[in-house]
Amino acid sequence: MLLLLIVATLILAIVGKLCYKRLTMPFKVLSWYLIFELFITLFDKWEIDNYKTNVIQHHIEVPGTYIFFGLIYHFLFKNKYIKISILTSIVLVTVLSVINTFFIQKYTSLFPTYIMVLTEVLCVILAVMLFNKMLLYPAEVNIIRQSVFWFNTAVIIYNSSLFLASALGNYLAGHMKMNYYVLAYFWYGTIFLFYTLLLIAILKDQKEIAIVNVHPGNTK
Amino acid sequence: MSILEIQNENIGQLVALTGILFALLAGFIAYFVILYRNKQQKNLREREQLEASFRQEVLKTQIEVQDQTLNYISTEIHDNITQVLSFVKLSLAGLVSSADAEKKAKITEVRELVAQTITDLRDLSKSLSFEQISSLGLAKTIEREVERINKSGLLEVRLDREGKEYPLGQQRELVLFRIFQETLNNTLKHAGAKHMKIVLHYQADLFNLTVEDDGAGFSAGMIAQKHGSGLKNIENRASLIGGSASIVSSPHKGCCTKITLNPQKPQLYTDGGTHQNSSS
Repeated sequence: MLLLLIVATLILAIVGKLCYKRLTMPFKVLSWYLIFELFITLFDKWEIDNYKTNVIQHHIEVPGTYIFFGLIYHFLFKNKYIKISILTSIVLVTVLSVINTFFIQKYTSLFPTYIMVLTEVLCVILAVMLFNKMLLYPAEVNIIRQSVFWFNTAVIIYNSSLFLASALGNYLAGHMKMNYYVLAYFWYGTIFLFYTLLLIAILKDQKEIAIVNVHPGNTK
Repeated sequence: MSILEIQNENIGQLVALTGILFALLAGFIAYFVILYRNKQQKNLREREQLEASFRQEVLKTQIEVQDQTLNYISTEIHDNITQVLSFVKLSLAGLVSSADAEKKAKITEVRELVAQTITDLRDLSKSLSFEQISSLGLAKTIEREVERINKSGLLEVRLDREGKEYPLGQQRELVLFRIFQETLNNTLKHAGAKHMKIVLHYQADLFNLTVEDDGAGFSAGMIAQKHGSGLKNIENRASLIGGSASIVSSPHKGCCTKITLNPQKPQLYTDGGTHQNSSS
C-alpha cells in the first residue's frame, strides 16, 4: 500500500510540475505541496523500514501540510482580514507544533494527535468558509469546471475523514478487539480519494478561467 | 460470542459508520452544488434585468435630451429669427413709399416672401415645441402638421380619425407625435412618395397610429445601410410608452408604420416624471 502511495504522489508531483506554468498562484503552491508530499512519503517508507514506526514523519507532515494548505487558502481568499488570520494561524500552528514535538507529544514515541486534530478542524473551517464565499459571489463558469471547487471538496473530505479516523483509532484501541488493517484500508482509501480530487483540481485550473471571488464588491 | 464474531460485528459497525460519514459528505457537496447553480442563475437573471433597466434609462435620457434640444431650437426660432425677419419686413415697408413702381413691385414681392417665411418658421417652431401638444392634444397637433405639409405642396397627406378620441397622457402623446415626425421626415427625405395616409384609431383598450406612404419602400438590407438608427429610435420610443412598433415595407411598395399601445398598460415614461419644459 505504501508503495502505491509513493507512485500516486510521484504521478501527482509530475502532473503538478508539467502544468505549473498555466496554474494560478494558489495551485502553484499546491504543486509544491505535492512535491513535499512525495518526499514525506519516501521518508515515511525509509522510517518504517529502519525504525518500524513513522512517528517523526507525522511530526513533520502534519504542520507542513497545514502550512501549505494555509498558504493556498491565503491566496484563494481576497478579504484582507481573513488573509491576515490565516497567516497568523500558520505561525501559531507552527509554534504549537514545535512545542508539541519537543515537550508534549515527543517525536521519539508519540504521534502528534493534538496538532492533527487542530489542523484538521482549521482546514474544515477554512473549506466551509470558502464554500460560503463561493455561494455569496458565484462565478459565471460551471462549478464542475472550477478548480477551487475540487480542491475545497478534497480538503473537506480528507480532513473530516482523518478526524474521524483519529477518533476511531483511539476508540478502537480502548474498546474493540479487531484487526487494525480495516482502519488502515479506510485511511488509505481516503488518501487515494484525496489525491484523485487534487489531480482533478490541478488539471481543471487555468489562468484564463481563474474566477475565484470576482464579485465587484469583494475587493477587501 | 467468539473473537471472530466480535471482530466481524465491529468491522460491520465500522463500515456502517464510514458509510454514514461519506454519505453525509457526499450529501453536503451535492447540496452545495445545487445551491451554487441556483445562485448562479439568480445572479444572471438579476444582471440581465439591471442591463435592460440601464439601457432603458440611457434611452430615456437620450430622448429627453433630444426633446430639450428641439425645444431650445423652437424657442430660438420664435424669439430670435422670426423677430429679425419681422424687422426686415418692417424695414422693407419703409422703402416702399420712396421707390418707383418697378422697385415697389419687387419690394412687395420680397415682403410677401418674408411674411411667408415668418409664418413657416412659426409653424416649425410650434411643431418642435411640446407646448402645442400639451395645449391641443395629439390629434389636433397632427392635424395642424398635416395642414402645413399639404400647404407646402411636398406631399399630399390625408388624416383619418376613427373611434371616440380620448387623452393618452401628455408624455405618451408627445412621444407619439415625435414618432409621427420621425416617420414623416423619413418619407420626405428618402421615400420620394406622393401620398401619405395617417390613421388615428381609438378604442377603449387599444390605440393605433398608422402612417402609410406610397414611396420607394426599402428592404432589410437597406435598413442596415441607411435607415437603421431612425427606425430603431421609433421602436425604442414606442417601447418607452408601453407600446409596440411595426414597420412593414418592401422595395417599390411604400412603407407602413404602425404604433400600437394599450392605454391601460403602465409605461416607463410617466406624466410629471423627469420630462421638463426648458422654456418655462
